[in-house]
Amino acid sequence: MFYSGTQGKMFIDGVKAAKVRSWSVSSSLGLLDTTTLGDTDATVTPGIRTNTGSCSLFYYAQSDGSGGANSASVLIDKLLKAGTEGVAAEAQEVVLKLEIDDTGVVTGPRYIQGPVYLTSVAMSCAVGEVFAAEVAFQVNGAFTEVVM
Amino acid sequence: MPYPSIPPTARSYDPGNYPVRTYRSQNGAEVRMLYGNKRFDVKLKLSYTNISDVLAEEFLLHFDETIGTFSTFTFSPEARVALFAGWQGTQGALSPPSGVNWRYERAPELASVRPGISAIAVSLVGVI
Repeated sequence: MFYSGTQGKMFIDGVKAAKVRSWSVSSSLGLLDTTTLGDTDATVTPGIRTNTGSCSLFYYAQSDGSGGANSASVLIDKLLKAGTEGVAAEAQEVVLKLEIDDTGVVTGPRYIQGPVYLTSVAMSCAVGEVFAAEVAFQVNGAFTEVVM
Repeated sequence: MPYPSIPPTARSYDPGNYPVRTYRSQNGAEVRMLYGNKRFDVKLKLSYTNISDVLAEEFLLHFDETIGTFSTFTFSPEARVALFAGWQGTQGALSPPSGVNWRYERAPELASVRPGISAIAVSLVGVI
């Protein structure tokens, strides 16, 4: 079986996010050089792992004029803070769960979960395009759960 | 405990000099007096990066054993091979003359890189 966006889900602080267009996750490992004099080939030891990702969500309203929160606004509110006299609240940590759910399979959904900080939010409003938010994040520490 | 037999990441060697005193007269002529036949002030700087804390500790223990910069010591054959790894010239070229022994020039400098991994820099000086 192959997976596609049909099986993709995203959860924000345990609540399933709606109108998610895409998510991606990336994990990279920094290597520490342990090459010594006399070696002909580089040797390394594991260093620090960095986990980052991004997602894209449509910014929407449940019905015309209803306003209110949607998944995109819930997420971007973790980073965008209005200030008072030039001082704004700190960015908030949020728990993201990125899931591939092939319902019916014994093994259950596959997912990665961890506390993240949003590192960037980009939104553009243009004629002919649906308003959406492009969000990048970095995991704070290690993933808390990895079932892949 | 002998000096740790670990190949360094980088090594620099200063062969020192013979005990020469130079005198210059008023007309500019130079007179040099040789006071000995052995090079001294030979310096060996070694850095060991990204080694385990356990290996780094060996240098600290050895420094303690030699009473810091007080006592002199020589390298074991194993340590000599490790220290001069990569050098394809004569081994003796990077050694002080006989009768000149090593001592720590100053305390090893330890830097913690990440849990379990350290870097240490060692400076040795050859003295008669």
